[in-house]
Amino acid sequence: MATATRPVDAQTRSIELNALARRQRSLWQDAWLRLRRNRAAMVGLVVVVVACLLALFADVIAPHDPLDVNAAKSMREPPWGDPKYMDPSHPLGTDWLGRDILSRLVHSARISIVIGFVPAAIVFSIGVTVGLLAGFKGGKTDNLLMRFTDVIYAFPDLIFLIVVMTSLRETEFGKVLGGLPLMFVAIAVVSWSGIARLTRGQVLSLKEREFVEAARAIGASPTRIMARHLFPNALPPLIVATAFSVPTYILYEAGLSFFGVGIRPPTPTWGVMIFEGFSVFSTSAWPTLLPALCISVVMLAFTFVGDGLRDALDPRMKL
Amino acid sequence: MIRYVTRRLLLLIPTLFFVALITFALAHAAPGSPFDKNPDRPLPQETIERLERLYGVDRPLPEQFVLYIGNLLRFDLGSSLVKDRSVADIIGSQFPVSAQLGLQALLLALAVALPLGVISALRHNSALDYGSMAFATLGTTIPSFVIAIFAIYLFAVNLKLVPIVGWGTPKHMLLPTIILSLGAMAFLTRITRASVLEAIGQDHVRTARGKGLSEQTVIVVHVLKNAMIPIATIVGPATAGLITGSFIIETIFNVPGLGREFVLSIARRDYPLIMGVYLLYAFLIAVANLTVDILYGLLDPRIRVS
Amino acid sequence: MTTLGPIRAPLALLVVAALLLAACQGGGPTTTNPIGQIGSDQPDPNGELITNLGSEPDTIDPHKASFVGEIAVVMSVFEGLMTLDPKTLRPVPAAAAKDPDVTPDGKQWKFTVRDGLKFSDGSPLTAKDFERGFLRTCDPRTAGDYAFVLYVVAGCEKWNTMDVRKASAAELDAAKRAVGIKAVDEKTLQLDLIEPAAYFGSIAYMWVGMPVKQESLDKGGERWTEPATYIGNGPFKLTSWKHNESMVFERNEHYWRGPAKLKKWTRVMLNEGAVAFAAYRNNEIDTLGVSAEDLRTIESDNELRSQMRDVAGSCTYYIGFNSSRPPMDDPNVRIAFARSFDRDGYIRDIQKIGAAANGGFIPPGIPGYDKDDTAQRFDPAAAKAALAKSKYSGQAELRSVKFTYASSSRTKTRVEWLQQQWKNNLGVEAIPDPVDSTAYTQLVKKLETTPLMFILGWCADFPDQQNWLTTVFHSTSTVAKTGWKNAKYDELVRQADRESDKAKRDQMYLDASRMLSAEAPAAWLYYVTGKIMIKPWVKGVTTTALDSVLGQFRMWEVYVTKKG
Repeated sequence: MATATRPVDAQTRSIELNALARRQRSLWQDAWLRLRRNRAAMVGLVVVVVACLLALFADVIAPHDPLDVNAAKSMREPPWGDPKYMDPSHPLGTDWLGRDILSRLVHSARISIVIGFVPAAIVFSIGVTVGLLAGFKGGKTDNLLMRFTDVIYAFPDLIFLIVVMTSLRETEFGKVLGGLPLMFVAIAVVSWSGIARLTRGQVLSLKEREFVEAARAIGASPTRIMARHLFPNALPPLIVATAFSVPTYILYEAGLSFFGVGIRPPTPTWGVMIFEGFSVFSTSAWPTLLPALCISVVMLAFTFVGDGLRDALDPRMKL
Repeated sequence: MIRYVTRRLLLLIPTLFFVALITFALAHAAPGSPFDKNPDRPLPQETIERLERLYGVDRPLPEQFVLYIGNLLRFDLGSSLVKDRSVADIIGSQFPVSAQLGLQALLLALAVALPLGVISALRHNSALDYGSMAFATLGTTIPSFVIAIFAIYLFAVNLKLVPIVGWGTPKHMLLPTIILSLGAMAFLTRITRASVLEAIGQDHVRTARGKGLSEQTVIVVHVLKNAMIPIATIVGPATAGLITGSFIIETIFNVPGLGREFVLSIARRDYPLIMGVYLLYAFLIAVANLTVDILYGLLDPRIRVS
Repeated sequence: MTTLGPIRAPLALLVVAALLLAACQGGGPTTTNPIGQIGSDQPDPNGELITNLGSEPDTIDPHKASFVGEIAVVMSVFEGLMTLDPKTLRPVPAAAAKDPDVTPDGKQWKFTVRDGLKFSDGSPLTAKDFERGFLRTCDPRTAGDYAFVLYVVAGCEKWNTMDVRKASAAELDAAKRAVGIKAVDEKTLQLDLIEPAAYFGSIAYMWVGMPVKQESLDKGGERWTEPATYIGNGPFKLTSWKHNESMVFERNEHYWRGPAKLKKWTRVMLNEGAVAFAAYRNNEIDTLGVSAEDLRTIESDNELRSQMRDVAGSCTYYIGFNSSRPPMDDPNVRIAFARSFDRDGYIRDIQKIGAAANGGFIPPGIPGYDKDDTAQRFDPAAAKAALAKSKYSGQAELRSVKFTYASSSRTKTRVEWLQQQWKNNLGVEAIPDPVDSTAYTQLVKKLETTPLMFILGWCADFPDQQNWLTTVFHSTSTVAKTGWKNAKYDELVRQADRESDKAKRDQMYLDASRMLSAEAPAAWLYYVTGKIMIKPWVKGVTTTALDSVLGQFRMWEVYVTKKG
């Protein structure tokens, strides 16, 4: 029989119990710790934060006005390019119209970050609400909402986005703020059904759990049950899904710009820069390559963060 | 099962109707006339109005919509407003090209992704595993048009391995097919690997091993069969992805397909063509999703019961 | 995955790919494969030419065509009664046996069809086929964009503007019979005009007057433009049309001038300029229209540079003024603006491909071009003097003027350059006012909404002064609403329109053109010109300002040399 290695008296015991109680981690703290250990996700997070900072402080960081057209300085090369066409005041060269590429890249980060996050927030709000209602209320509400969701879900995403943007771009609403609100709405309309279905699935499986029954027993209102009990417990997969959706939206914007129906000119976005760079590709690859690199890096970052979140929040995946 | 399928097929009708309604509303919400097509040579207002009357575009929108649906039910998709051909004609001549490209890309994606995913999962954490995961990650994060632009310049212009102009021979179809399949390939590799990994860890597999079955049998019979289920569900979204990817690929590689036609028609407000192509694609995706659901039902007996 | 492994691999791959590509970019490999440098100059009797048509034509129906790509196809497969002399762009007989006979009052034209003409399927070609073609253009059911050029023919406008939905079949038929286009016999086509029109010979070369077989229309119906029924009388026939992909033409053995030198001419459809340039360098196409973006690459490569040629264009871009609004209602102000920007500098710094508009409205290459028209030449001192003479001198109206344009980055550059010029040379602030392009097109259609200053272009429909001086600047013009009215000018150009004597006519138009430049309802900005690349083995190409297709007016002379 092993002997106790420490003296066990009441006071020490109570201290230990308190310590234990404090160290008991919630799901969130647990998840955060796991996320922190995931180096790929951390690097991703850093990149995302850097991108956000660039977006925020674009005016200060960019050496030139991104819209400043200067025909005489067209197609200057970056330092590693053709030395005959270099210009030190343009660290990454210029595009066909003589605009500074570095400044445009930095300002583009703004649009891309915003296009990533804002629709994600809208989609989250709408999708979760619909999913909660459908899953919890069940019956006719569920049926109605789900039929509607299914129809929207069947809409092919990018094609529908293209049609929406083309049609509404020239309207009054489409011209506000360079077409940004229009794009938010368009993306949100096309994408909310995925989250809705996911939420509903979660709610359906959580509905029968004991804590919900308990809440009902003490007379909690349906709203309270949905908000205080179902929602927080359904959250993890929703967060992961949202994290993964952000790069998709960034890609949508790039794709739409490629087809010429993205944000209205002259606002620079990475997608627009790639599109414009295509026509001068024979002269220099950099106007296309640099924004492409930016998009890819940011998307990679978000993917890693998403992966990390999924691993961190999913208690089953104990490695 | 039959009831399930019938129910889903019937659901297709209101879905397509709704799609038609929304597309119609959107297409006509855009200001500008399809007849003012040449910005360098604007037609006098009187001529435009006359053309609009000739093609019935000046009638009130609800009337136009009803007429359109009526024609649709008779399989008449109308005539292009901009081109001198009927919509059915245009779809008939360009869709086979896109379909061929899409199918080839899908098959290629499956042919590479499935074995790659399985082997990566089996050789978990090996160099091959990391390599294929790197490929999969890149494939899903780098925008396809970027890869396409680089590919055309690297392989067609600089290395002169494939021709730029034309379509029809394997040499012409090679690069577009590969590039189009990359996205789906990367995605499928990840999914396959993940589901095989998950299947391997399952109890019934350990039981099978415990029973003394050969590794081969274990893999084929138990692992793969269960892994197929989530893979089958991906075919739906993969089809959608291939269709949207085709717009980009067809534009860059100059493939004479329906996707490129669609992109051009939107800018020119060719309503009948926009509606016709969009409905076709919505229908295809709906069918793909339905097929997937049926497959899912077949593969997973649990679904059939619900 | 918790290690950095998953990041390293993809990033490494990215960087390697980028470097690899960049390395392949700089200074590229040989741009063309020299084929038979010591090769013969002999035409290859089985010669094949491959060119780029651009995007798929919407229609190749000659009586509906309006875009360059469409006209290119029509002019290859069909031939009109007249064609144009490549040097002077004056009409000369083609399918017609000789110049048309015109009655002394100038209102009746008779064309005599050449003997022995055949369609490409061997069937004979008569005046009736031409009658059918011309009538088809006036037919409201055809709804072609170029019907208006035939409005000078009696009854054509009335028939063409009828509402097809409301009019009865009898009414339409009656209107058709009243049109002054008749094949009086197998060889003679008679056209009755509402007034004398010396320029009608030029119209007879256009696609609006191409002959068409009744059989083609009957057999093909809506799809008669498919190769099987698209039968014409031009130097080539259309043998294959793979939609959105390519069109193949082969020489017409029955062409009256004899078979064309080229056996086969394939036209592919590449929309993107960058892709077309790549295809040209790959020897996959034999000619290329150069875009400004490609210039640097071309000029830094000796071989490419040697293959580049200048071609004249048939368009003029101008800065329009709304002459009904202050301060632009004062010609002194307009002339001041017209003379205070350096057109040569504009081409050099901004436009790059184009010619300075240092003449009148009509561009070089089009009959009526006047290189000695100095009314709008760059002269800041004269400009300032004109401004001082104006009644608005020193007034509020001249402090700043709005310059409206269709929003695009390229146009913005141009507008800002002009703004700078006027600031420096005239001391007036022109405020750029970008509007969305659809809105812009609408604005410039009505006088009430026409901006104070705007940019527009005009391209020739047919090579005659009438199409420029009368169509655009007569006070009743439907294509430009500048609010400029000058009774003397109106009378002069209408007289010239009706004048039959060529020399008198030319002089009248010249005087009118000078008057126009001096009154400056618009300031001529630049003449459109182009640059094309032609591979060294393509020969016999004669270019003109009106080419829709390579060597259009001597298409049968184009050939490729034997390869090696």
